[in-house]
Amino acid sequence: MTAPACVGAMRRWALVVAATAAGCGPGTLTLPESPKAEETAALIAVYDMPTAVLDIDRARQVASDAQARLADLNVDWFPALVSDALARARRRLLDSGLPDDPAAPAEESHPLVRAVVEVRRICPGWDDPAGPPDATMNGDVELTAIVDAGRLERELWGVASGCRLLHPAAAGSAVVVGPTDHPALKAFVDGTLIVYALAPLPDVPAAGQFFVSFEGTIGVSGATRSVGFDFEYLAGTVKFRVPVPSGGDAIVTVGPTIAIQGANGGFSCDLATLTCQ
Amino acid sequence: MRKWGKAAIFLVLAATSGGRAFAQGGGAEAIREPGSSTQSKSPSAEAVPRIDERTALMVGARRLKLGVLFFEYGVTEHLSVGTQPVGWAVRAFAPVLAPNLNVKFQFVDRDPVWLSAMVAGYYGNISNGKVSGEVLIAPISLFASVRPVRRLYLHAEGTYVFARAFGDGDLSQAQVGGTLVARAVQTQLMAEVRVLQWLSLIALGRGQPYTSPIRASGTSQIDPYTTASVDAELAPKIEHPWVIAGGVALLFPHVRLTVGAGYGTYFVPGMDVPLQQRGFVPDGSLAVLFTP
Repeated sequence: MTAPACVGAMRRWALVVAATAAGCGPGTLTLPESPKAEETAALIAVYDMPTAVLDIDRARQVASDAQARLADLNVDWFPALVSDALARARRRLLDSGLPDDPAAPAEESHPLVRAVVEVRRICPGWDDPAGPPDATMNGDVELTAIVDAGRLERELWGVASGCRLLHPAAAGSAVVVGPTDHPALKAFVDGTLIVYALAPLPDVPAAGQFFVSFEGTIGVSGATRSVGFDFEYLAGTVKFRVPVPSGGDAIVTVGPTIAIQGANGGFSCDLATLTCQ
Repeated sequence: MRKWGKAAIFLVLAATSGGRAFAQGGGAEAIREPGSSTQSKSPSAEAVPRIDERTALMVGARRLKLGVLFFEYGVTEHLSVGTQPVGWAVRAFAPVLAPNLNVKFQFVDRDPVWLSAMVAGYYGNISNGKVSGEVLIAPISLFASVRPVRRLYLHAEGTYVFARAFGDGDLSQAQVGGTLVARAVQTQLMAEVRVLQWLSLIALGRGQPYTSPIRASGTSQIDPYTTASVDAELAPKIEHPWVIAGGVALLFPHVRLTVGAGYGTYFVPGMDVPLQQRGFVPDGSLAVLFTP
């Protein structure tokens, strides 16, 4: 073998060895950045420590504004939609031996796991005909979860694309959204959502505990419009943020009464009379 | 819990089978008496047993070795095939099966220098019914053994551990006893002092200067409405594990026994994957040789 031929052969072998050392497999996994991480953190902080300074009169105004906003948005079906997607994401995480609790520390003696989990949930549609679900007609929700250093990141995000669902769901539907004791509405959602897990991902939709921020288009019974809102869902209880004209945000919880939390204390307001104390 | 149970069983089996840190006192090939003339062309015909695991030495022609770590058969003086029983036995305790095979070839046999290469392959199915995946591990080793003075052997090893995951599966099964199956380069140097014909003192150091994470990805359908995909990367927590150890090897003609201890990271025998914690490393092994 001549010297140049020998050098060429050595180079070829060097390439083979280098390729082998590199593993001949896919490269390093790049985790996507959580969108709007800073804004989400700021909103979560408001829910933890509301910024509006309230008195009785302002609390009454907040209660009134909250009622008006709830009636205006008419999105009491929305939490269950998100919770349902989270339950599916949880199942996929567990199937792959990945954590479903963002508070759980990484296993001390186990390898470091980084992962991107993407769940695509076809929406149930408005008429739910027999046969496989029609993604083109019904739309879908795609949710992304990240596991970094063996821990589930609290922030998940997703996109709802022309998602159609009934509220309440039709009997036998794969996705049951909200109570089923009143006539069904045709709901529609299209936009981006940020989800912040406040607890382990739910095994059933009703057990979800999370914060959601949504921007996009929603529609109920044919009336669609662009909206942006955020709320916390705590296993059936919904908290949402109401800006106060004098400054800051109050956090409102709707139940048998309207509970309002401000920076300087909490108030409870009657649903019918809006009297607060 | 079921997943970690499998891993724990794997670990227990690996631990009870003994680390390969001391060459496991495995089979030995007979050699000339120390100090005798060189050019050992037919060592199995001679009398002094030598360590043949993790060294460049061979089990010997037409010899069958049954050990807790390795089963091995010498096809010729310079070629042997074997398997690791732990990978098969674990099936009795958990739905994990790691079929494996290794081939060792000695290409230099000129006392006091021996060189050999070994290729092994381990396959693991990490599917769990809902997701599917496989892991392939293939350690490729080069061994060099020298005898610079009459009672001293030096055994050097360089190993590249190729690992590849296919699909995603249950990622917690892509590890053994809490350790990760990953691509890695490992080196080992073992010094063996032959005190008696049947007794050696052993000291060794093993390290892993290069480690690369592995990727696993796949898509599954959860229900008719839901599909989900996972793209994951697993990286060892200890990037450069090492171990130093000492022990004794009892090398009788038909029975091999080693015991020892050390400090560092336990390397699971055969697959050459290190555990993810550092500390006391016990060791021990037993093998029986059958000669026609």
